[in-house]
Amino acid sequence: MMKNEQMEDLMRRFGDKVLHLAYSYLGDRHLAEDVAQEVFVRVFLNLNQFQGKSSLFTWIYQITVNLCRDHLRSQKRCRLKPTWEVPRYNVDVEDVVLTEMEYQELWQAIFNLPVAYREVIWLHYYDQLELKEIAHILGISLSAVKIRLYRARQQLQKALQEGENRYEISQAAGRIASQPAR
Amino acid sequence: MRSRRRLDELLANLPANLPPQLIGLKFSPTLREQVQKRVAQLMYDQTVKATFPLKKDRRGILLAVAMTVLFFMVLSSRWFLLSRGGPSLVAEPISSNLKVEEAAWLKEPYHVPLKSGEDTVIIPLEVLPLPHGKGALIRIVYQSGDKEHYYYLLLHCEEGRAQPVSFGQSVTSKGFNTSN
Repeated sequence: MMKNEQMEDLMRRFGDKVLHLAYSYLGDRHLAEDVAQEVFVRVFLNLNQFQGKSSLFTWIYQITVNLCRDHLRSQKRCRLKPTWEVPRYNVDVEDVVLTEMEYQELWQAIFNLPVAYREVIWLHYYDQLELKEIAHILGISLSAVKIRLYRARQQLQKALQEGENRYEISQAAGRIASQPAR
Repeated sequence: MRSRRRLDELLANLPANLPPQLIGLKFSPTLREQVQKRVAQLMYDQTVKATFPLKKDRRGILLAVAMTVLFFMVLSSRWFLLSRGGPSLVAEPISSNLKVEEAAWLKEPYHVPLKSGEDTVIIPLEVLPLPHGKGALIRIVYQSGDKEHYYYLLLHCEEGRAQPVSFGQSVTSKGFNTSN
């Protein structure tokens, strides 16, 4: 059996990653915490079954993905609605530079992606895992990962473009409104 | 218009730009402690399960034990019925052999017309010990071919041997006809 210190060490190393990945699926902090806890409970109880075919991190991520998928299936929420939690902290708009705004926009677009696309974007770009590793974690082929990544990027670009168009339209409307009446 | 290259740049720097939704979301010490507790509890439960069979198995074992006890109770009550009053020497062979063929102690000295052969069956129905404890009244059914005949047999036990005293016909479940 794993000692408490080892368990603690493992949770310190991977806890946040697992929690964030769970949140990327579930879109709810409390649910993500519940799932993350369950992930580590399963890891500790089944560590003797870990065959070492992949890295420990990959194995833990695999458990996380499976648990999240199970949860989504049970909730029949295969696609999260764009009602992600509003951050609790207050953002000082004046300090937010353009790049940060772009990132906020991008993240929102990522969270609005269907799960199948969101998970590959998350694992590849946020967690910076290799495509082969992602295929192993998600239980899909390498070519399927590539196709999903390609389509996910297309959707992101489309979403960002639409956002930009809306911004430009609102800017133009603002300019027109500010012009003095003739 | 936002170019594809710009999207690539943004995605490439994604790890450095935590989404606002994740800010402050940490696998806290409280969560780690809860995991430790749950694991400890589950390990304890597994140990208990390994020590004791599952509830289902326990029920099975209890049922088996109960059935065994019941079996021995029935057996002992039957034995008690047969042996009560002393004529165990007689009762035992009857109880252990429901199928009795050509029982000499039934034939002699009264020459009970029992047919020899496989179709002859004598089944003891009831053993009633006599009050003085030295005998027994045994109700039997004597089957010959398709017909069943009811009899009673009065035995007297003395010096370790059982002697038939009386043998009567027309014994039914309603009563004995002792006229022989």
